[in-house]
Amino acid sequence: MAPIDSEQMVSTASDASADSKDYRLSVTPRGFLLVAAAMIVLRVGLTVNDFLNPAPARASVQWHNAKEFAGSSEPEIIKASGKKLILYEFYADWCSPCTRLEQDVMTNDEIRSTIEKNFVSIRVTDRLKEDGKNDRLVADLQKRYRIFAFPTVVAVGADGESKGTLVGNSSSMAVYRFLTKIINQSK
Amino acid sequence: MWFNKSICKFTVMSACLDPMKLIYVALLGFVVPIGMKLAALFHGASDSQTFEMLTGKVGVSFIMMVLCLGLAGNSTTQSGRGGEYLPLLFSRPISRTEYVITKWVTITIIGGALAALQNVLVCICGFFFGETTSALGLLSLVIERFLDAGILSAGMLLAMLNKHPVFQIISICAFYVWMIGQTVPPVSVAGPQIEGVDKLALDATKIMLDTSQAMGDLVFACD
Repeated sequence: MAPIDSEQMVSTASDASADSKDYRLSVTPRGFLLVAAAMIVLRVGLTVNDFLNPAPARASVQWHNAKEFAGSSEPEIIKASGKKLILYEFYADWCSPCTRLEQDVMTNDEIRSTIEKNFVSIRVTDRLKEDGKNDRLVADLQKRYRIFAFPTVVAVGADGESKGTLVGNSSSMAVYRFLTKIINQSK
Repeated sequence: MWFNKSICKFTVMSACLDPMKLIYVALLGFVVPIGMKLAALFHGASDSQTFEMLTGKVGVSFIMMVLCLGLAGNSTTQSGRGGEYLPLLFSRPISRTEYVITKWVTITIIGGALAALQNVLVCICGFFFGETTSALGLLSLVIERFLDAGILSAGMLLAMLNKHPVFQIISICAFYVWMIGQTVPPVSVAGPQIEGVDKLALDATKIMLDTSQAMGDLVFACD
């Protein structure tokens, strides 16, 4: 059976029962494949370009490091934050989803301004893998908020109660929804 | 001529008049994710990664999978009421390009619209519980869902229209590799520092996360 040329018309459905090889829409349109190939080339090219010419780093959220509060307990941090909400970001230097969250989400202007306006933002960096142990404050916070994965973002109210937890490298939209819900519920 | 109204009409009928397709799309596209959202909102929980998956590219691909069934007009996959119109369509000559482009545009519009509607409904649910979504954010979601639908339907269309078994096997495998990539949880596992039953529960979660990530690493050979 000769293959159908790309310029030929498609066969009829009734042919299908007679001989399945006759029923060919099977030759993929060349134009479509060309477009697909061009898109793949473009995607690879953009990736290579991003690798060779990295975009300048965008401003991210100004996190306080938990080390600044070394020797303090959490109630003291809450007291120091005044009436603002606290946003803990449980982070680890070796954690690639944490880096992606930082680069893709925390640099978003809306998210950055929302956090800086409404929260005291504290980054709690895990050092268990590197140093074999964590500072007491870090360990206490991880235990209190049952941290099992990085990154985890925990919002705490001025009353010291947890208002919400977001686990993983979520999308900007999910983080924004999370933040606005906490803010609106705390008003 | 690049667009055939009859094929478009047939595709819409095939997608919208098949009760099984409708049930599938309604359940997986709307009932499950919106149910998850409402459950999370009522319990004060945040969006889970599974929810993000179902309202993102994976959700679109679930909708596209059923919409793309029977693209080539195979009678065994055309169980819907639109199926019987296909032989009539093929009784007059149409070009391959016309068929493919019309199918692609129509399925992209239907799939994109369903996925965008799902995202909008999720935003509306969140709004009543204090979540804010800006107009620009909402517009971005809608555009992203249509783009997802466009790229996924193009891939599925090419896979299903080409009857060569090797081509189909490779493309289906590629699709599942992509799907695995989408479902690997974007988290790193911490060393739980708690005791008792809580530690056991977290250890179980850790094993599940580790396993899925190990599978992802196996497939992608990445970090």
